[in-house]
Amino acid sequence: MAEHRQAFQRELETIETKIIEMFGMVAEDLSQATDALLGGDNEVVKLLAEREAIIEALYPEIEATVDRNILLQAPVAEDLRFLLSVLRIVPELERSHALVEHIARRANHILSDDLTPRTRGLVERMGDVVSDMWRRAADSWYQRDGSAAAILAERDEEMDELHASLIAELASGQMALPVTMEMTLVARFYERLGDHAVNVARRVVYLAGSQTAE
Amino acid sequence: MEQQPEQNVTERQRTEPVVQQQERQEDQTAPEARVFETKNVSLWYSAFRAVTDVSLSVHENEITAFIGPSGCGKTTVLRTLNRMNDLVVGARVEGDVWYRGESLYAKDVSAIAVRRRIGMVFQKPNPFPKSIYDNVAYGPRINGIHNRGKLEEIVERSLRQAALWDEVKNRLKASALGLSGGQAQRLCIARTLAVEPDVVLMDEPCSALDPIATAAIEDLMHEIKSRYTIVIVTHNMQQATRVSDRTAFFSVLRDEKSDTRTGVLVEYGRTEQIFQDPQDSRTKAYVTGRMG
Repeated sequence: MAEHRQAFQRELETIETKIIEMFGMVAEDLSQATDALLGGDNEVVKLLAEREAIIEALYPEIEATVDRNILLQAPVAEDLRFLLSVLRIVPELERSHALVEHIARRANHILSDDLTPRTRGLVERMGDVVSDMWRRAADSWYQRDGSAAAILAERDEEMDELHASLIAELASGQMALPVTMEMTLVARFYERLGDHAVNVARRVVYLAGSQTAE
Repeated sequence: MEQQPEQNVTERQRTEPVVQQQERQEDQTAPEARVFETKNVSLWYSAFRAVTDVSLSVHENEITAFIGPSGCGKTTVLRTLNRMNDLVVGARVEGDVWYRGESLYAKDVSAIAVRRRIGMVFQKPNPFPKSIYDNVAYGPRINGIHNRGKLEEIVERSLRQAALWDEVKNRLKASALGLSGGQAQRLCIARTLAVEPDVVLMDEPCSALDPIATAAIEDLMHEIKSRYTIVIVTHNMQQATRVSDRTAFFSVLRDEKSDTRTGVLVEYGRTEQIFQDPQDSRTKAYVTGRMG
């Protein structure tokens, strides 16, 4: 049987490649940002700022390609589900990378010695959990596996608990006020990153359709 | 310096596939709302089996679309619904076709009576070489209506239902052959509606029409579906998505040994489901235009 619409298929594959690229940048940069924050590595900050610029260029480019294909190709079925899902997750990816970059940027303001051991431990733990969430979200997208949404929602509860613990630790007033203020934001950024990962995985439920993943 | 991270993301609702909701609706359909039920219907032209094993229900006041590649048997199945295949020598129907709970092919059922209840509109507009008025009055006259006032009433009502009245009301005595393609097709629909059928079968009614005329026919289908049940065969998938409530996808099974092709019903469901989340890989390949 002849394969038709090959040009359209190539456009879809190009979009998918760019989405995977964005996922990769969020997931990889997230662990680097945590390391930078805790280790005070200022070089990473520059690197992440460059990646942020790449994402900011990719975002409108992907959107324009999707808009054009919806307009011209009258997509249906998995093609339509894919294009709509892309429109829904690209803002999540862009926002998430911005949060990652915000976290890394704190490495400029905070010396790791400023942090109490418990704060360090909680931040490290939040970083690990949320990195794992993002890896799972990326896999679920790539494999069109809607079942990850439930797992991520569970992991996100752990994130919320860690967030509450960290805020309590900060409120105990053992660190300098400027450091405490910065770390309150950082805590919030990690917590938001968890929420975005959950949102992405939920979008995959629609993307995957009702067929079991192949 | 820091912007506040954005709000309102956590409360976002989970995006559920539309399909699940539709399947729930499906279960609630009462049996009496089913106008046709076919069970394992096969149609033979002499020794050649054109269509095999079709089982589906057509629901009241809905538009059901049959789609599929050429030779998949969709028109053949449409024609079994008002016994049009009876007119083909050697044609034979196997299996059950129920129309409002009665067997359509039972011995005591008259094909003429069936076609009075189940009208048909064809691909090519086929107005009779008579006036516009006489085209529409043709069926009612055959059915024994000769009262002038009554006929005028039927003609006006039918032409209005077919969204043609305003365009032709001042030239009802003019020949129907002078109408444009789109007008002629709406006249044929008016002629079908004039005998107050229960069901209207349409076999690619817009394939000979331009987009404007097509839109007029589609609008009128939406208009009349509260009074009739419609089954449409179409090659235009966008038309199926625009007008139909349910879609049946037919495909061709090829037997390599005997080199024969037989039409099969691959998938039947709510139109949104068929076009958003088809279950069969053949349906998926067809609706996304990947196969052919």
